[in-house]
Amino acid sequence: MERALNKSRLILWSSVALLFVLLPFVFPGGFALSILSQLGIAIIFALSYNMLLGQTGLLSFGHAVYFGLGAFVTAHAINFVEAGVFGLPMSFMPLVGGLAGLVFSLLLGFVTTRRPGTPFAMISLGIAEMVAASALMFTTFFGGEGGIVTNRTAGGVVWGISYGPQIQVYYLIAVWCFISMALMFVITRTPLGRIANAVRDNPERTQFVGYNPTRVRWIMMSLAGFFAGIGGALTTINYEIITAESLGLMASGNVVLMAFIGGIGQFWGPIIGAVLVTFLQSFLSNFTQAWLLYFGLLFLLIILFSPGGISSLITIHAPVWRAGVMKRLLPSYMFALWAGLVTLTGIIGVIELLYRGTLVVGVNVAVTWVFSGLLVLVGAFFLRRAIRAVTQVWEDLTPELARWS
Amino acid sequence: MEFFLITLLNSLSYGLLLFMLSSGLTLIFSMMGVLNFAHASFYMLGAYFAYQTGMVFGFWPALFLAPILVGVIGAITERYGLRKVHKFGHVAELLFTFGLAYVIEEVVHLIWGRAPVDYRIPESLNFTLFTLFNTQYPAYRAFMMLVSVGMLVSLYLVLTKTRIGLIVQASLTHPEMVQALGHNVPRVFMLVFAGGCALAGLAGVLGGNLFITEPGMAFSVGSIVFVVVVVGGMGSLVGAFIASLLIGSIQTFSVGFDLSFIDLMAGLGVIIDSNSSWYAGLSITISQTAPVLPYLLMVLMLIVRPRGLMGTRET
Amino acid sequence: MRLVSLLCVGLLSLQVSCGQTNKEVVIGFVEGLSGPFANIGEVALRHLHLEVDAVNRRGNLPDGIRMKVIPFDNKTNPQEALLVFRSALDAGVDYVFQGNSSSVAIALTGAIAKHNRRNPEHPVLFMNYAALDPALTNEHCEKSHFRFDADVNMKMAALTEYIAVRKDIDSVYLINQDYSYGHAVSAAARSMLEVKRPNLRIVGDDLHPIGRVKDFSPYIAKIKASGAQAIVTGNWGSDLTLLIKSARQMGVDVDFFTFNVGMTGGVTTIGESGVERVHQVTNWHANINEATQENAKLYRVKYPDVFEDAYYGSIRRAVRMLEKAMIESGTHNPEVVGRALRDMEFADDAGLVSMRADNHQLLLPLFVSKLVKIAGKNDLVDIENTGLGFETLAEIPAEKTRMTTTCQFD
Repeated sequence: MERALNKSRLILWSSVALLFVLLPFVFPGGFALSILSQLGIAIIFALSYNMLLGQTGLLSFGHAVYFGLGAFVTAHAINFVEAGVFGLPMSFMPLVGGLAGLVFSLLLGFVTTRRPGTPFAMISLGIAEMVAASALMFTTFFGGEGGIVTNRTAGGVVWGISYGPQIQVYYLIAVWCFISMALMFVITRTPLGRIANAVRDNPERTQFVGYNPTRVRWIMMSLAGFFAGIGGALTTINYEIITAESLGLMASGNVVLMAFIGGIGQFWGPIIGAVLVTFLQSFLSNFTQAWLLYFGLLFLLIILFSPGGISSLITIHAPVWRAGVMKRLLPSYMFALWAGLVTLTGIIGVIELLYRGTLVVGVNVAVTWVFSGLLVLVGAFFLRRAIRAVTQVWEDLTPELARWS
Repeated sequence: MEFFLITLLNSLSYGLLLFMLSSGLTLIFSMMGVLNFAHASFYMLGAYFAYQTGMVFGFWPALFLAPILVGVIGAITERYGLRKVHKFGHVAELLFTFGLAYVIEEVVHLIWGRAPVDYRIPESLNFTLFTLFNTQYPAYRAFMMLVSVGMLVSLYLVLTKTRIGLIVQASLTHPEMVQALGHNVPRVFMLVFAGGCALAGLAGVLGGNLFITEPGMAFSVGSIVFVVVVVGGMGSLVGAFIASLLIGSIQTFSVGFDLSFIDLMAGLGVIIDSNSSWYAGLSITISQTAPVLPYLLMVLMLIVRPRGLMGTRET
Repeated sequence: MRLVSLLCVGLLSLQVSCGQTNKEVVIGFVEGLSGPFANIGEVALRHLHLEVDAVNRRGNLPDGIRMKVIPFDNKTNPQEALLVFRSALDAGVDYVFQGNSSSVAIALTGAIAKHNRRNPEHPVLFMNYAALDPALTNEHCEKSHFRFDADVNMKMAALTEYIAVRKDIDSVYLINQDYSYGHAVSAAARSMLEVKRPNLRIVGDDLHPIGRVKDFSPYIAKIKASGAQAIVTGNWGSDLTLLIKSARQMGVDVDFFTFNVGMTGGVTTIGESGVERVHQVTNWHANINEATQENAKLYRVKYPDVFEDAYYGSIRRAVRMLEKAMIESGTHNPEVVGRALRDMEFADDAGLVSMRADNHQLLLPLFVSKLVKIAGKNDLVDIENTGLGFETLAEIPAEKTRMTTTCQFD
């Protein structure tokens, strides 16, 4: 077994830590800081989801249940601290959320992990529906429409940290994000992580070797629930309010998108997905109402053409890079990029015209329609050729790369 | 008695509608191993197409046109989407239909807007069929049952009497064998997928005007159909039929029971203080939980009998 | 135009100046503009634009400043709302308008109050035009929050005033969505009917999960079996439409007393099945008097291509009272304007309204109206070209809906 810690990894992880420290200085300002905090939470959540999908092969449509339950339990814990029932520094509050996530995923996972594959996906969806529906009924615990409001400064000032200013909360999230990332990475290198991969790829054979696949799934699911709970707890601290939406189906669907767009084949894939999805949701929605549609289309495109997500697009270029033949790919890539941009502009034009129809002022609506339509046609025509060109270059390169590897 | 009879009729018509939805899903699943996440979206498309074509041609032509249109869209989805994703495995296929559900809902927003559309029951069916005690029974519900049963019979005939039906039927129980015999031509896949979608579309045509035609309608039936398929047993049409009727009647009949855990305890002589913090949770009545009961049933089923009512396969 | 302003927001959030002058007071419209409830958000935005344009045309604001509306999409999610509130702050927002969803409103009141405490140099006011949770003017009340619509309890008080005089009704059935709003409606109906009509029987009290019931016929069968003459419900959206349609189909002839029929698409989908049966209590509808009819027609003239009709009287009221407060206080500083709003009286198209100083809840006359066919009625305005409109049955004076409050401003 390769060692989890070697020199290059050490350098990589320390630069990640440094990046976390420096980011607020690069992007100051209230909104940027909020986005960064949200990114940290999204990364934990997406990575914990990938423990299920990427590593154990369990496609879950209800992962937000553990995220949300962790968040609610944390909210109550913070309120108990404020009421003086017990004492716990705010810095360790994410552990409460993590434990809550662990307990709930142990309980529900016992039922759901009995069957892998498609039945698991459906069962997770059913459980998510059930929890989301009861979240609205049980107002004592879930706080009804207003949710549970907390005060993150309840823990008082410990070591000069009050968690009043957003910057302190950002660093709390950064620290926990880093710890969770590291732990989840280590898990992939442990025997447990390896057996989870085996269960994903061939459960029968794993069983013959002497491991119980159901139990392995159950353990992995509980661990995923633990990290999701940490993410939930950080959400509670960050927003100081938690509502039933955060354990709903939308939230569960969102994390599927994050993990898959980023790529489930690599450990760092979901990180890319979390960053991209969070950014797109925050910025795209400022510009267009159709952002959900663009999102769905992006997702479909990725499944159709690069099911390994963005991370696999990057990894397939690693041998090309090593062989030093990147520049032979570039012309066809530039061509594809150009054609893609033309098509994209046309498609955006059509979609926006459909959405805004009545909002667009001026008489030249027909002109914009024709223009967008033309762009789509021309772009699609060239895009087909570009894709053919790219495939051609790749085919030419394959024997050379084979020599290099 | 009046409540019982009326509710029995209602549960039957609701259950049959559920079966129309779940039969298509089961067919596709047994044949292709794909759980079509966008199945309810095709149901929604059926309702919207019926609304749109109904405005031009009237309800009766729309009853046939809309499912055909949905079937065509299903065929296109299979040919240019699922077939490409197939080589990446079932998870990718499932996620493809998941993404498709997103896109279909947004496209419906785009074309028909977010407000519900005025898709009405046709005048020729908008009358009272009979009056039971004091409650009127609408003709449209009876018509819906008639169509469902008609569809059930023709589905049975197609599956048992035609060549393609036999291939499909064989793959319900022995998918590997059918594949080995070389019957697994992509055209059959496409046909089955299109047919399943058309069935969902037909359910949409019938359900859209009885209930409400709006972009949220796919979401509201989507997961209940999955429950039907799991409870009935993956890949079993008979199981789906029984589960549809079962879940239909559970949802409708439980509405009539205003019992709660507190009443139960009171019956046993234990009085729970209404100031207790558990009171809110325990005072929830069976009728209150009616729409959630199917999910509970599904979880119970998984514990007691993981392969479902009539299922023979584990996955 | 809208795209340019949005672009500015995007750029501003990236710390790039967009050449903004001090000649504008920024109204941040923080509402769900994508997802399932986007259409309701868009309708409200159109109402807001109509009123703000009118203010700018009149040009009476101090120092000749103008109002500018910047929409922000909160995705109908409280946490998203807090996030976009940050970007609204970066865009220099002075007044936040929001209303669709009490959970978002509760999150926003807290965030805005916190912001005001931490940044007294740039205060923000929250103008709530539709979030009905009583908590907003009771336990969650804040100095920076003003509500321009009646809350659940006030609406129920008005509705029960009307039911109290309807001596022909002696049994009602309560059916509501199973979440805090539905619970509040049911509880308020029970306690108020007990006082106002002690001999009225409440023959049923059902809660059903929100948005998950497809077939309401079993509920209707149950209502039928209970022998109720009227249904009181706070349901909205498809849960309301399905309930009414189902009752009609099964020939169950009862009166419906509701809160939210007039919302976009409601009358269109309910259609004939609700005529003479569906009642609503609102702070505004088109057929209160000639002035409201004029305003309803104004909306159609301004937006000839849209499907819906004027609905939010509360947005009109909020913008006009804001204008008045700015003129009276001679500034657009939200803190000073807030003090002027505190106990303002205002003559509205639907009557005289006044802001309560003790909890910032507007006291306003409420109207119980009934869905009727406008054909043959003298000059009623219809809704969504359905030929159906609302006819006023009773006006409940503002004082009758005054509730006790637990609000304590600190």
